[in-house]
Amino acid sequence: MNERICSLVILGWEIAVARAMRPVLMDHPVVLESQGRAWAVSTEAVEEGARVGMRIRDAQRCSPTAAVLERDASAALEEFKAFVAAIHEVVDELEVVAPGEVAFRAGSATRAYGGEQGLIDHILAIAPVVPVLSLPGSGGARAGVSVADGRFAAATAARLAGARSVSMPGSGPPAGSAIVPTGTAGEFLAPIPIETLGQEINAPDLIETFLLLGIKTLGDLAALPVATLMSRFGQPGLLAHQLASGSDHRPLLLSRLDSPLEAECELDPPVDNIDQLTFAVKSLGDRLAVTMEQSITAARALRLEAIDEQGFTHTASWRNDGGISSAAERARWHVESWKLQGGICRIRLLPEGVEAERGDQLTLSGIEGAIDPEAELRAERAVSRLSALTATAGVFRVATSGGRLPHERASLKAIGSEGLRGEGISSRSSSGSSSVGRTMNDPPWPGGIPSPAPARIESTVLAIKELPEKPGELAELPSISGRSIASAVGPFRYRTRWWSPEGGFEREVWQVALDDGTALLVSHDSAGKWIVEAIYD
Amino acid sequence: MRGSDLPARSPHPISKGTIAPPAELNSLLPEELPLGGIGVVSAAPGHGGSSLCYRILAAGNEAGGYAALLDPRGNAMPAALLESGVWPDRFVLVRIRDLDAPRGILLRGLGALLDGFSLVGILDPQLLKNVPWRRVAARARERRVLAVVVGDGAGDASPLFRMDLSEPQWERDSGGLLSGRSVWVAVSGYGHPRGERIHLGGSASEGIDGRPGCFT
Repeated sequence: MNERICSLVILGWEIAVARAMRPVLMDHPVVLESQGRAWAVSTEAVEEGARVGMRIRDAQRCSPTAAVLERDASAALEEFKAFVAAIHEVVDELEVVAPGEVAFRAGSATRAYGGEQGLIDHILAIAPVVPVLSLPGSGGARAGVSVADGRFAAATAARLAGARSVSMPGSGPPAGSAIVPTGTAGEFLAPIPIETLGQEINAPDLIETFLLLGIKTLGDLAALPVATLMSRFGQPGLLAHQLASGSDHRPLLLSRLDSPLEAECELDPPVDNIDQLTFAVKSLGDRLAVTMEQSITAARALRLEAIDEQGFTHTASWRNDGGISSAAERARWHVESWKLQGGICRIRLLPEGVEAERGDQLTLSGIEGAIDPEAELRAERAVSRLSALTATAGVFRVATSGGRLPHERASLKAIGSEGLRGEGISSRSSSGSSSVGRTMNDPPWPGGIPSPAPARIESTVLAIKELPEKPGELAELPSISGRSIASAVGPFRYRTRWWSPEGGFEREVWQVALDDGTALLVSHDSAGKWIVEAIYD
Repeated sequence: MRGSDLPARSPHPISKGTIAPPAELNSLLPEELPLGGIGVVSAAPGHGGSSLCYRILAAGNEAGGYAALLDPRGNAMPAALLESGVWPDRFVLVRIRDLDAPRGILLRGLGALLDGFSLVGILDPQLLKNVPWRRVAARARERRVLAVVVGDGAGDASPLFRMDLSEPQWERDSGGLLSGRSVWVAVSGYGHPRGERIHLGGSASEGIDGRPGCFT
């Protein structure tokens, strides 16, 4: 089942920002231009016939009085940060989809605010604190908030709610909200025009082809056989079908409002000893490495800034190919080359070229990006073809999870439109050590059964009432009949998820070796059944 | 000498059409393991057949290839796969939801696996009804894919691993828990037939003796 996603969309955000910077345009038709076309159009200009995507000349013809401004994406994003910071008070992790649009998992916030409607009300109450939206008329912006299964359904519902919004009491923008009940995303999306997909899939030709084929709504598309779409349109066709049918499994690209990605420290008294300075840089590097790991980001390069007693700033930058925590050595080389005018009283370490950590690695040849692209493409195509056989086969990738029992330490994630490189996938480092292995072993999981994990899952209920205190005959076992227990270790008692309404389980686990050398993981549950959980095959 | 006492060979780029075998098979397979064809792991349940298959798939990942495991019954343990050393971004697990699906659909899926991956593991081949294994072998040879089938019934194999005489080993220092096993492995259909007892341990990245290449 898709995750419940809360989506907030502020329609006309960029127009509102442009008006906030030029208050004289507050009630004036405005068209934002990008690459010769209308990127955003104010409601006043829309009423006069201008539309998003029009050539600027055509938009001006429709709305001769409209002020045409160059789109300023960075200003729009900068202004939106205030809103994002306010929403971070409600949720820890969210995705900024675009300036004026955020999405986040509704789960925990829903519980905290007394249900999905409570969460929506709380989000809408935040809007007036944002400077742009606190202007009279809110610059023409309208807010829509919704909760639905999957990000596409949530964003679509939020846009529709925003378009139908009504003015709120107080100084906030007109706002609307919608809740799409669990499991009804497909029904909700069915009557919506197919062009809506353009907001999620950057394939105008595909949507145009759908229209030419007579597919007018998302429901029309969802009714088509997925295998046919796959064979005709490939991966984009599959993604379009998934979105249209309300099974949007794309993960959110979540980020946190962390402390700024830099590390700084004062040195008092000022330091002129290179060893001391190197040590200070090392501790900064360690701090920065932790911060970046938490924010799942990576830096292409690092810059060190040092201010000496005379107020001179010394800087050095280097490519971050040895890890942030190894910054000290690189810093030493640079500090030795500086002509210092006294001791250093402040140092800062800053990441440059920050991007999402994708777990990329050097290949075996040591050259980044030298992975055979053809092999990758072949594998992706094979996964696409297998995904099309959804009724027959399920395609999964293996991901780490946490737990004491071998079943819990790793799980399978269905491969959807994101292909082989899904969220949370990390490769191995070139040294051969596995980040996966580290993740598996990082949590303490006291009392867990350590490696090795059994290779095969079984679920054979044994026809015995209890395992003897001392290993004995297990003659009645259906699959291992006649083989006696050579040795057994246990019981290891586990009581898990006792707080869960679905109920956890309580069981005792044994490692059992039979006289023919077979090793099993056997459990005894609270109902008194003995079960072969897994086999060390 | 135990197989895992031998040093792991340096990874061998898969583009050469061969892979370095898992370290514990070093003395059994002195040459590189060639891609192209069907290899069979013949072992009674509980004697390490699945684990050896997982390790060979991981060796393929190590060499830069993509690997897939066809698991008709859906009982491969994900944690064991990760411990064996498969790379999550170059590995997929395929489960068959409908074993009674028309033969053509199963073959299409199998064909897609052979077309897309350098190594394909197949568990429980007896569940795949009416699969023309000779044609599968021919496709695998053509595509230079090594299909590692765990269990009998897939026809001629090269190489053929027979595994037997498993002996569990218990770790006295950690409360007597299972730490690994030793098992007899014989290889034929690949150079001179050989056989030896090898040690099977825990995680590939943190083996019992600090060396990769142990399997469960």
